[in-house]
Amino acid sequence: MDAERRSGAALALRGAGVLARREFLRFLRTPVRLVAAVGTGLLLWLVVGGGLAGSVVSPGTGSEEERFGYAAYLVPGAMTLVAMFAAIFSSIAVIEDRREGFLQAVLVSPTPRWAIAAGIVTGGAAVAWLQAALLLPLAWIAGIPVGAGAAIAALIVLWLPAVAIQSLGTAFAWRCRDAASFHAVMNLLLMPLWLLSDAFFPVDGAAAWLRWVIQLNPLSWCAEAVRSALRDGAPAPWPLLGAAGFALLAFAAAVVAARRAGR
Amino acid sequence: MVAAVIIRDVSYRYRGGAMALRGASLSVEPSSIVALLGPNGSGKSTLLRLVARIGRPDAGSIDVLGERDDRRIRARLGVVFQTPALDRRMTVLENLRAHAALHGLPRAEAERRIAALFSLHGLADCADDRVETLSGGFVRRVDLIRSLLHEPDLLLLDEPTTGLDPPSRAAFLDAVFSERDRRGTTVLISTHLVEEADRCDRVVMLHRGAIVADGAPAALRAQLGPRRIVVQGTETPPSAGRGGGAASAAAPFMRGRDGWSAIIDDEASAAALIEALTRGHRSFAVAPPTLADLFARATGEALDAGGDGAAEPADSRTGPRGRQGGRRGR
Repeated sequence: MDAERRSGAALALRGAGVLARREFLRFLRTPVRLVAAVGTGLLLWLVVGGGLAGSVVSPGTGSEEERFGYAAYLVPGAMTLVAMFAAIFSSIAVIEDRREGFLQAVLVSPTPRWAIAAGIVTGGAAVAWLQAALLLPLAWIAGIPVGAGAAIAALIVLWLPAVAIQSLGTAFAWRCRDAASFHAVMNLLLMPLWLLSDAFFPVDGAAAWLRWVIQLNPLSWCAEAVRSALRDGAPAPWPLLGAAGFALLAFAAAVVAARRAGR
Repeated sequence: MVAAVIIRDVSYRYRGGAMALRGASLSVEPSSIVALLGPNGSGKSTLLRLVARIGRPDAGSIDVLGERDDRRIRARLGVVFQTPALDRRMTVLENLRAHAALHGLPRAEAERRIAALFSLHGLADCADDRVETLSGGFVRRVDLIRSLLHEPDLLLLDEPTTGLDPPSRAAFLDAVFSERDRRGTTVLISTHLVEEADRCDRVVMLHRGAIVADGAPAALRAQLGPRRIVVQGTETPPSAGRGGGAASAAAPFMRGRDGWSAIIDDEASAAALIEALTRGHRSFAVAPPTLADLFARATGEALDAGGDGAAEPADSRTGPRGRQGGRRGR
């Protein structure tokens, strides 16, 4: 029984690894996605580095906005948003893949469903993380004094929004019958997440009710965790906990959806 | 001998409400090749998916390989779907290695089996090609290898030759038969093609979710008369035109892909019909009955008419008279 359990765990790990690697291979072999990933980075580099660096200074004293301008605020927010959108795009493939592709055979293999979900989420999140990580040099372009430790901390924390959104996307993709329904659901979910977060705009000047909404938005926690890691060399505890909880819950949703697939 | 698959009174309803299976019961002997024959929408794919444990029946039960645990069943199961389950952006070898890993094959063993299957199916040359660069026939063969890598005891093939030309279809089926002969694999294959079903050990006909005929192809054909007469090149059923009345009295004409056809049970009726058609200058052909004829007789619908396509009885159509011509052969 123990041997069977051990071999089951080995099968699960190997299966998850294969699926994660496949997600990455698919990304590298789809030229359009590569161009889009690099293009997004370049565009933001141009806008932030060339146009906005030092041009916007928020009210307040001693804040990072005052010290480094709006660009310093924007860089971690942009990284979080790029991770979010890249994760959503990569989870769209699950829909077609599940109905008429590679994933059909994966579902009739003995690899446990939780490992299938873990593989897809890990691979997709890695792709999203990489695209977001490409924006990190923006910090230096914008003149933010980021040390190596802070950069590494920010990159580690950046995993959380990538995993969270990739998990959410995967959970919905398992349930959606076609890409159109997926887009509709994701728009309904992501637009408020994005617009009602403090990824692009500081919460300070917002109306009181909106400030509450923004502060309860899990994407704000993710952006703040990345921002604090980049600024202070370590993420602020509460945003980090919130972002980790968000990622964990979303991953659980992906596992549940995978286990229910085809039932 | 314990059956490889035992399906007991299985019913299944789609989420939208339509019934896909109605009380289907079936037992599949080990090492046999059984065809599920029926038009689109007859429940073939649903039945295969339930056997593969993708979904649960609403009523009834399905025993697979005497196993109770889904994961153990899947470990002994190979499935080929209607669309190939390969990643088009990966190479043939990458796809096969990935599936070997998902079935827990040790790397060295996987490489050995891949090499052996490549050699058996003549695919070694395309190992490093991306799947998207291969022809449909090659992709299907690679997909078959994918399903055989873990040496399954039961192979489920869901319309596996869809989109292939006749030679590729034949080659694919040859490979399936050779696998059964080599390892004694039990095969359950769904198809709407009579020529594919005819090659199998046993044919189970499905119509609107129910099993309407079950037996060896020769035994099923023997239930029909010795002859099948097809009246060609006409929109008009023979009974409505000249020289068909005698025929429709003996056996009603049904509309199929190649014209209006009637199964004639005895020599005297056949001779009378042939004479009547000749007198009426109708173009016709005489051939042995096929499994499609048995399906039409059992269901009143043509096998190639699709799920909702009821074959039209000869008396139900009116319209312009068909082109008249001489007898084409017998």
